[in-house]
Amino acid sequence: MSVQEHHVHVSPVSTYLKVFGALIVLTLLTVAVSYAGLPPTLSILVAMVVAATKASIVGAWFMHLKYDTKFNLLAFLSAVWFASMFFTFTTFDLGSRGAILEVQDNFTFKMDEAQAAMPVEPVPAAEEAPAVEEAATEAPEGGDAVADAGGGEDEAATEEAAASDFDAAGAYVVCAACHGDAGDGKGPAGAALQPPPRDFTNAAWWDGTTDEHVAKVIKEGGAANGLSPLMAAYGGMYDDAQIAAIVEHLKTFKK
Amino acid sequence: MSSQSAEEHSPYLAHHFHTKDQQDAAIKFGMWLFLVQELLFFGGLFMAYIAMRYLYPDTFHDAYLYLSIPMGATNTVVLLFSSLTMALAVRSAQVNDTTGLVRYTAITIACACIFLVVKYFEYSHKIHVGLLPGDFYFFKELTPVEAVHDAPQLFFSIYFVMTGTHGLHVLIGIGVLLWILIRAKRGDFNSDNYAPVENVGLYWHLVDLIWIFLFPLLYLVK
Repeated sequence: MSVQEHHVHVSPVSTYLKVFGALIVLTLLTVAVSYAGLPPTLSILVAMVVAATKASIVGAWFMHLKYDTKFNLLAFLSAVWFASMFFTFTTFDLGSRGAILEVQDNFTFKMDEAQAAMPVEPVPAAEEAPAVEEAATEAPEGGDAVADAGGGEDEAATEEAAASDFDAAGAYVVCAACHGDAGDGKGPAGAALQPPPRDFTNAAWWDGTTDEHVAKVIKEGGAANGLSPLMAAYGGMYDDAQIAAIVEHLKTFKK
Repeated sequence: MSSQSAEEHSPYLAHHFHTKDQQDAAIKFGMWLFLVQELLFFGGLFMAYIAMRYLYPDTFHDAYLYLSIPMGATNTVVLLFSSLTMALAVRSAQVNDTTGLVRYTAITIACACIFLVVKYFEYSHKIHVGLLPGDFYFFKELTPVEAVHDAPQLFFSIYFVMTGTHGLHVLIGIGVLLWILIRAKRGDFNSDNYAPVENVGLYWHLVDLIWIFLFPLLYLVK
């Protein structure tokens, strides 16, 4: 027989009929169980065990995996394995979203505490202030006419901020979590945010906006201005003059 | 006559294979790689189902009641039977029974058509009453859950995408089975040369295998 020559296993017709019979019985079983009124978790468990059994039977006999080279079985099982991993870890993610949000809330709370403690230490604030001014004067070198045009205003506002003894650079520590130490929107907490945190180094963006608008967003938060809801409102924490000083500080990042 | 010499002289052995066995194994493994990516492709759809069910368990429970279990069960039996005739078609080719191959392939195609006809009745009813995905949804009796007002639409989005993708596979299956039927009638296949029959068979069993999971998940599970 040519069949023997190629080492092909030919199952008898009776085997296929038995396999079909088993599949029908399992189908009836799974339909019957669905009417039994089991609790949802148990119901889905039974349905999936029955389906997996049926799939195994189809794979083993109809698809010949039982008699084939084990390489094909390996390919099949690797797909099952990777699909299971995909299902499992995505389900973990779905199930733990609440916990992650809780941690985030806690983080924001801690940041608020740090913020509250900050104005009590005027010494580092005084040290940092000149650095900010340096950065501000350096900035226009990298930029061009556009940056120079706003120069006069900058100075006036910086003086105002200095007069109020408010440390905008110190306040920015909270912003830096998302907006980054360099104001480039690449802070550690902002890395995964979509939309990403504002990049304050972007001169073109500064050209297209106004100080008033930036101040408004800081005061009212992102959600109230059609921006990312993760940008919190700081109007309760700073008065308008302080927010204006923060805006001036943000401008020092402009390139 | 030793089997080795028979293999060397097989008119179906392509020149880049050493033996007929190697050639057959390679053809089949290639098909399995394709089937594996099909499984992973459907895996994404199953994950969407799991996520939506996880997020809106109540709506899923309400919405699935509008699927017809008798129709779904009928289609399951039809597909299982077509898998049987497909397996018998491959077996016929293995034992040089061309008449059997033609007969069983034709029955398999008929079952595939019955499956699609039942699906047509299911779809047309849903389209008629408005159990549709997204904005097309207009079925009033299934009250949307407050706050997650678009959940029934989501269920039917998933229902139509999953069964539609599966139905497309059935349609493609009919196409390749017709190709097998024509070639079988022409006498192209015998016990030494039936790799296309076997590969189409594998594809058809996979279509069945996916339905084995779709049926309980969409129609049965509460």
